[in-house]
Amino acid sequence: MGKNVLKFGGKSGILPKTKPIFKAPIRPKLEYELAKDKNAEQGYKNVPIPKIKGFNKNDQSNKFLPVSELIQRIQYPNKSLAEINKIENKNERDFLKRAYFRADFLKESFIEEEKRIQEIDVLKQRIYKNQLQKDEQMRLEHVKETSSNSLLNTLPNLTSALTNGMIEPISNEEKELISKQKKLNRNLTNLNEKSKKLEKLLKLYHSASNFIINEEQLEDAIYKAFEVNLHEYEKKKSLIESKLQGKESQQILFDKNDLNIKDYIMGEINGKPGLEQIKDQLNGKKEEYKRQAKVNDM
Amino acid sequence: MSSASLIQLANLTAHIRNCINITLSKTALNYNKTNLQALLSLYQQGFISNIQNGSNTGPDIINTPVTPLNISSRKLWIDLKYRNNSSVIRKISLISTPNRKYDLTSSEIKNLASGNKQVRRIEPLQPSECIFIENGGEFYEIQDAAKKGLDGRALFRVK
Repeated sequence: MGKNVLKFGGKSGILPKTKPIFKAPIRPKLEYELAKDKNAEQGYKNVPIPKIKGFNKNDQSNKFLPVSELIQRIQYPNKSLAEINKIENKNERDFLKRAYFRADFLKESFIEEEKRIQEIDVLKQRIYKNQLQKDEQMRLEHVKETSSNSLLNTLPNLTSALTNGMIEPISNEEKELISKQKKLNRNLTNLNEKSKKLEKLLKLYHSASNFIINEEQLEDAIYKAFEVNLHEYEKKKSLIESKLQGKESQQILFDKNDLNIKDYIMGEINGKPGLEQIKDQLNGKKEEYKRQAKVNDM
Repeated sequence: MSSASLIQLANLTAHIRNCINITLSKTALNYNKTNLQALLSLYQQGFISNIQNGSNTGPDIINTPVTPLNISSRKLWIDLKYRNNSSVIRKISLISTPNRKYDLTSSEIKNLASGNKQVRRIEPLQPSECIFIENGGEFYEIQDAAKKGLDGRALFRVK
């Protein structure tokens, strides 16, 4: 089996679920969604659905949060961009600038996502209407010829497939919907790849601190390599002896594992700041945490 | 010009042989034109009892159209015939193979259908045996092809 084949239960041609940008719906439920809710089966016949405190399964309130309101909630810095540019303190200026652009980008992404969802809604609505027509047609045909014999139901279909084509073409709306999903999926994978690349670059950057870049460092390193350090020698010797006896090897392994686990939890690379930490720093989240911690202490 | 894929046919014959060896009643084959044509001709000659559309989980219960979205999971389900604990199909094998194709003339087909003469390296037709010929993208039983005076490629034989 190929790579990632088992990820989706061994099925090919299935796209993974995408993360939604809006957590709550941004518009009232449309006709097709209401129809879907209406036809949803739940509970048992003649048994009322149990009521759970604070949770109603039959909630038909159709709540939503429009994008305009979401955009209003975005917190811009108090100053305008021109005012921010005039600030002399570099740290403060950069901090406010980042906050401004972050808010601006969030607004832009909300608008873009709304546009995408609207386009998909139009397509889904059209598909729903076509499906209704098809169902009605099927129902009429089914009334015309109902037969219990499975042979009669299947064989004419199969023989007609030879003349009419083996595959039924899909509608343009469906094609468009698939291409949109594919595009979204591609963007998501690209983002993941880029962040992986960035992480590798950061690792290289951290390891570059040990590189020899001038003659003095080179001489120093050569000197160290050939110097007979008795203390170091004794230390290494005892370490090797204990390893050979198998006394402390377990402990060393545990220590190494501890370090690895700590790196993973803290998002660090060999004890140095990792990508997430740097992102937090640039976002201003780290500053926020610090302030929060101070407030909590008081 | 023939359109049936000999590789698909080879897979089909081998699959049916395997199923008969372990006396399976139902089996699934890939949904493609060659398989469908071969299975329909086997059904017409009475070697199998049913053909159904289905997915890789089983035959369809409700009619499902084949679209580019579900083509990867579509299958043709067939019911194999058994009588007195033995299979109705005793032998099924290819005649033309991808590297040795038998394109027969109408007189050669007539000779082969008569069962008296050996045509090229094809073994003569036995009683209760069928040979399927492809002409113009369609499958014919050898007796039909001989009656109509058709020429074409000898595909596979069933006993």
